[in-house]
Amino acid sequence: MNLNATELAEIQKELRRCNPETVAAAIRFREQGDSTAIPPVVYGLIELYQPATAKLSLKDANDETRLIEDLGLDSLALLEVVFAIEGVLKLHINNDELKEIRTLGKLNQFLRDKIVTAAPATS
Amino acid sequence: MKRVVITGLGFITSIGNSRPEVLRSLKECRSGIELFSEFAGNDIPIKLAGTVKGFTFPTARFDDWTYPAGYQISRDQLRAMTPNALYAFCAMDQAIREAKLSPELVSHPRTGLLCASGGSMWLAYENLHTIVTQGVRRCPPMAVVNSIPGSLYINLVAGFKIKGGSLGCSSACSSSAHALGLAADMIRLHRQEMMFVVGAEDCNRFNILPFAGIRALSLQTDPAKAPCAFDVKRDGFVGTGGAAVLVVEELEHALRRGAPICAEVLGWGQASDGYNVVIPDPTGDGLRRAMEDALLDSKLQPGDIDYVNAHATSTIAGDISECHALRQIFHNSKRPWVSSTKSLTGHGLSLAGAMESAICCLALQEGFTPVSANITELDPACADIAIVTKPIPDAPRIALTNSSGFGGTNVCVAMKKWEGS
Repeated sequence: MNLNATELAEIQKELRRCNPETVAAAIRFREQGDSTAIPPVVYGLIELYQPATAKLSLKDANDETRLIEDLGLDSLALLEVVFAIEGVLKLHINNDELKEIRTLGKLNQFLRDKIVTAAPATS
Repeated sequence: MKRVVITGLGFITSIGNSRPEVLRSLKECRSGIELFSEFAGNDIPIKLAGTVKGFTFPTARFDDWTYPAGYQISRDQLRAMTPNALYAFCAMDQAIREAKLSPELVSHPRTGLLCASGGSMWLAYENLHTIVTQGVRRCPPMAVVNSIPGSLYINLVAGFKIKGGSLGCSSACSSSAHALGLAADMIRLHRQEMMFVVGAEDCNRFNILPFAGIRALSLQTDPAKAPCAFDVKRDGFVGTGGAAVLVVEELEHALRRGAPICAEVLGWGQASDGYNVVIPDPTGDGLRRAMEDALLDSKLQPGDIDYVNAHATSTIAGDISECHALRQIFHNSKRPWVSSTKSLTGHGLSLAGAMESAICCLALQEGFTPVSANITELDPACADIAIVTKPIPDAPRIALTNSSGFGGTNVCVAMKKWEGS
């Protein structure tokens, strides 16, 4: 289902500091429910919120990379990433679920699992 | 009791974003008042503000904000800030440099922080609007932190790793004067060796325009004419924002480390009107008692005072009330010079006391008496007060600074030029 102009504008506003690939992936996910679009969105947002002092660059990350210890996100930055993901992908992550998300792989898998039970909300 | 000195100042104000800029504006009588773009709408009768230059806040999102070059602020520091906290962060940086404080002295169990701000009504509005229109789940992660008045000390304590006592003062427009007085007491009682005193306010339509509800804001549209405290044509105050920081330090501590001393805080006083929610007691009785209290605390006589930085916001009632207070204190002594520097800066609300105390430090240290700007026809009701309507050669040695706020709060702080002992 195609997004309307308002929905597209919301995504572009939320991701306006991300690269065009991140924006395109978010639109692809919202329009087609394409789960392969999730990692580019997650990477794009983490890149935005990652501090310059992080131990590990996102380009060297893999599924085992820890969000806090390796990528340098503190718990508030993690909340910011989750808040942005919720806004862009229209998914909700509960507090209990959030506690389990420690690595990049877990985050991507969690979001993929989530769309099996909750299709992206488009109007 | 310990003696208290000021060893560092920081300014983000409508008349300058550094000590040299503020000093030059005061000496040359340069106003920070402008037509404010946020007030441009035809539905807004207020047009002037003491704008803060060099900062932009195009949206409520911190990553859209800009600030002057030269300040190192990390993303995780900026994300929880309000505009007033960002101003204060920059002013803190200046004050720390001026006081020659090492990171170890800034972040020390004997170094504390006292803050005053009304909070960011803008961000509070944005956050609550989001919750109401989009649901609680879209409540931004920093919604509480950047909506409450405590946001200022929250941000500064974390940002500068403050280890000593920290708290906020909330007494409307006397808040940061209270903060300075209380900080001085903490040092005199030796509860801390050093305190940062910070006053900061946003500068936008959300924290200024609500004062239109009580007709307290000037309707003047010419920035060269308002505010004009003590003038017959005064018609209300002109709002401003920004931040001012004073490093308040125990004298021996300052001397031991060879700190540059700007001025000494001799004492302070406070009293309440017990009169009205917003209207000052017309007799000026509360402010008179605050000034008497400050003189007693400082072991001064009225005749010792050379200069009074008046609260004088340029409202019809407030300026006259303050004149009554001044008249009662100085009726039997040498009349001190009196000016309202708000006529150059605008009224900084919770920031006012710290900004004007810092201005007094400049006047004492640099040897000049600030002018009360924009007076073309002195109100006859103020005629017996020695108001500085044009530059004078006198350099004050002892100054008082007055601050009053809603609810009838009144604070007076006494400061002395530092003469080496």
